Amino acid sequence: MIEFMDVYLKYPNGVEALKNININVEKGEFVFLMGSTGSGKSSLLKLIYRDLLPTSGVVYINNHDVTELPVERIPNLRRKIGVVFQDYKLLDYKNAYENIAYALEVTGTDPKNIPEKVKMVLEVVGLWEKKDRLPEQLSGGEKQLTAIARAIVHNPPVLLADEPTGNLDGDSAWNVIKILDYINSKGTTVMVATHDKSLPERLKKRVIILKDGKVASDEGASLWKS
Amino acid sequence: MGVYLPFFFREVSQSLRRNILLNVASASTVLVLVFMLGFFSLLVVNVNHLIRETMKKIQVVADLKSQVSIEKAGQVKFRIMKMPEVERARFVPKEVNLKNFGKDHPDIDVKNLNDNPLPNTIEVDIRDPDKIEYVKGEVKKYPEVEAVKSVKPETLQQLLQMARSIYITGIVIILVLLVSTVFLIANTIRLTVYSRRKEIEIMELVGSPLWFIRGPFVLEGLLHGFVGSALAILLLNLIYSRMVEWVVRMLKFVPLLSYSQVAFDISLFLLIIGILVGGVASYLSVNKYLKICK
Repeated sequence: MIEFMDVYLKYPNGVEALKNININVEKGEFVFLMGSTGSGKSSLLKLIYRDLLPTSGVVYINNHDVTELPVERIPNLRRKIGVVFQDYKLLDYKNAYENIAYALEVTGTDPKNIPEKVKMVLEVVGLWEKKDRLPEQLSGGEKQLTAIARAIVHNPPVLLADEPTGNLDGDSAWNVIKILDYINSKGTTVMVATHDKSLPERLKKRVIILKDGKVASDEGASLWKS
Repeated sequence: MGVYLPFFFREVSQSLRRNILLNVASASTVLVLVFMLGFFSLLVVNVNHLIRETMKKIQVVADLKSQVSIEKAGQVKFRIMKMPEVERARFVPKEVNLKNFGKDHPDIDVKNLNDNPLPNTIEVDIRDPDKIEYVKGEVKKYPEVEAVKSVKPETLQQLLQMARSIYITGIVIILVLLVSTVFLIANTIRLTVYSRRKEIEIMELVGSPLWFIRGPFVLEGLLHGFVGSALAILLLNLIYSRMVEWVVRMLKFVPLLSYSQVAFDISLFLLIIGILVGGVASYLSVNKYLKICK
């Protein structure tokens, strides 16, 4: 599903963010990407949704080399990959429902199908009752759940989460992870970048540890299959 | 495509309402710059008109030998007219020349002259004053021609040179204005785009097509361009009409074009420039915030 082959990434300022990355993530897998700040977790995720291009090496998504993707085709790729961030990236003047509907509107979804799709994802994350609340009226955890709902509204085969629990307390963080696990159980491949060691320990999923841009360890690659 | 359009127009109208001050600033920038552009365009058009009018006064006059028949003179005139440097040529009988001489010299009683001392002539209008000497030489080669003189007063030449300098300066200023208009409007529109950078980021993230992200901003730019240039045209019309009235009253010898003579062309030019510049500037501004294109 997602494959990194001999990937190197060097930023224009000379910083080597990733070195010799070789990872294979199977369809339907749940992977934690761990490492300290600056270890290259976010850079690795950015390569998947083509926010960055590797300096060398190849990144395959569904057997397609995304490094060769022309700019005008990137939006097509993005519709197949949901992305969630630590800072939620919600529009302050739109309520939870409108924030999710916006993702559908700007990608040309037929307006009459929007209410049903939004309701479905809000129910998945348990926020249907709070659909009319603006982001400022939601807790941190609820904002992140809204962002997750928006990320899965296109029913993408891949969901990436970059430090989704970074701003949340323990219970809220665990709730977000449980929702991601639920989404994964429905067949979506999920990759979560985090530096919180307790989450993978509790969930018992594959953990890839990055250190100084290299894969330091890749544990439990077969766990998901069991 | 169809499903995008209602949302597309809703976004534009929302943005116009949400960013009233920025929209006014953007349209005002277009107004000021298009007005200046229009002012210099009118200057160039008028100077061009002045040059054309002055050119009409640049002539070569060929005195024909007394034995040359009118038929023969007609043939010479036609051959001169075929020269590419010549605007037109006309045969002037010696009687007319005498009459004109009399008008120019009222102190001389031409009616009482026993014999008309003036020759039949061919008056030749030249397209380019620089070619006057060349045309003189060519006309002089005809055996039917006795002498050739040119009417090229120094003051006329100086006026022409001055007009040409103004014309070239005007063109340069127009070009500079065009480029600076794009940059100034792009900067103003960038403020509008900046205020919506989060929407752009989300649109990029969720896979909105690039034309759709740019579209509302470009449409806004086109609207700013249209409104700004339309207002500039109205203002220009008002000021220029007053100016022409004043010039006609004070400086009767300056052949200014009335606004109605140039209104359509200038207005169309300014409107197209305003709209285009608004659109291009917006396109450049929004591209600045599109991470996907970098």
